[in-house]
Amino acid sequence: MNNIFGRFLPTDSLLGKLDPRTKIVIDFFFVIILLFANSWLTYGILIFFVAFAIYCSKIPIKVFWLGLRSILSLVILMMLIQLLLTAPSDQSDILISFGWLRISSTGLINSIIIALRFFLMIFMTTVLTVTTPSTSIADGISSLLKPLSKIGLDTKTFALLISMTLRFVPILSDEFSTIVDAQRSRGLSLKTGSIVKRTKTLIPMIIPLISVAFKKALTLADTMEIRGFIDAKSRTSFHQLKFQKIDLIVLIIFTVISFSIVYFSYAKL
Amino acid sequence: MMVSAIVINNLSFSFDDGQELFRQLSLQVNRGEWLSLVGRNGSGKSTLMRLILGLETPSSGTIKVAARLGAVFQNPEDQFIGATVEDELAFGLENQQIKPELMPNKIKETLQEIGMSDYAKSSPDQLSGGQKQRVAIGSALILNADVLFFDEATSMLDPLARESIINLIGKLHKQNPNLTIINITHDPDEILWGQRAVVLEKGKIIADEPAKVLMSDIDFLHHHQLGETFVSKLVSKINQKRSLNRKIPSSIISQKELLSWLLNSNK
Repeated sequence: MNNIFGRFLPTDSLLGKLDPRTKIVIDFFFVIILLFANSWLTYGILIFFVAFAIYCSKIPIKVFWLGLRSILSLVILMMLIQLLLTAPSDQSDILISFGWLRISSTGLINSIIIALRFFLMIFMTTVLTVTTPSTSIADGISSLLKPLSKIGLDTKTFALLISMTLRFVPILSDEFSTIVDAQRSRGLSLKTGSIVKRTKTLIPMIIPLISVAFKKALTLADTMEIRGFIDAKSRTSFHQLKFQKIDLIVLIIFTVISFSIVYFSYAKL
Repeated sequence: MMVSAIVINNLSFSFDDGQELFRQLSLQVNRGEWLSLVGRNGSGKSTLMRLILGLETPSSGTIKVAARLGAVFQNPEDQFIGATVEDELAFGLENQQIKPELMPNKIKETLQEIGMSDYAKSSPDQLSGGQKQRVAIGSALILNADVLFFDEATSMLDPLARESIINLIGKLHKQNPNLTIINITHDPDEILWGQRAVVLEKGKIIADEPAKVLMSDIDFLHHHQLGETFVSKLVSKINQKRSLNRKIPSSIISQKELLSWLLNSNK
């Protein structure tokens, strides 16, 4: 299992029992609230919230780490950009100076904040996808977007698209790993040579992946057609969404946390 | 009187690049029949299946289908739409606009039929290849398919899973005498599970015989590069080496026949 994003891991957890709409709404607003956080206290509250969500999911932290590992290089790159491109506010802000290269404490803090925001965002979306089947996510999105169907938006098709995309992320990720292994066994290396050479090495790995993706999409389209799929609008739904008391409690807790983040952020200002 | 499930008359089909595959092909498949569709790669087996399923359009000719069709493809991974086994089975029911309250019972019954009752909430990623193919079979059965196509459905499985899938198909066929099986396969031993075998070569039917008759015709099999059954190969090796006092008849092609011959010859 290389990538857990989009992979549903069934457990008998509290989060697994929540209405998918509750989790989608929390995930959506969590990303916004994350942008409000501007102090160690507010970040501390958010870290505690995410840690509690992971604990309630009953999914081992190791699994989340696996998901994070695949995008770790991207996070490190973003941290480096922040670290190197943030200009020091004054002389006392400079931590290391080497020729033109100056690393400031502001840059260091910014890079840590960027990484932290990224980690929290990934963890929260992973909590949603590992505890909710993609079909339930689709039903949740479809239900939340229902008002938009009045203005002609095909929300059911949109939700089905998201569900199938989520379903295919881990499959294509596994497929990519197989292609990488196959190419490596023939001598291609992503770890040696200049950046240009390494980028060129990616081409024989990405082209087969695109080809595989098309093949899989065509087989899936055939399967759907054979099983009577015409359009998403006229389908019934196996999952009947139920907004329960526990959903209300979780939403209230999240609202309180959100307001406290906004309050502490402004209180600091 | 035999009732036809599928009747193909004078079917012609060419690919988009103009290359012709079928010309005036005719074939009739009876209800309740187990037909093995055999032939080398590129002979047109899968394309014929796609034409019957309505996934391709013939250039001319007619295909009459008097049954509900279902299909199981080679790679079970590519066929999954749902995030759990029960979601996967529900997909077809949702398309048929079945009321949600009726779905759980239908799903439960199908899971029992395919021997997957304990896996309703499992994610497809947690299943073995054989279990995934069972779910793919269930997805067709839940829609009351009367004709099930298997497009090399066991070729990606390990020997045990292969045996369990072929046994499941056998059990389903036995339970429902009206269930028609069309199995596209390269496995000689699998062909023997069916009653009838149709051999395609470059888009033409070159043999349409009872499966046992086809698999006993070793010269034909060799000439058209189709494999022999394991027992058939074993019998010819034993006969070549003269390891037994007398020759085993070359008509013996299955384990059951060989065992029975050995037991009788010892009496």
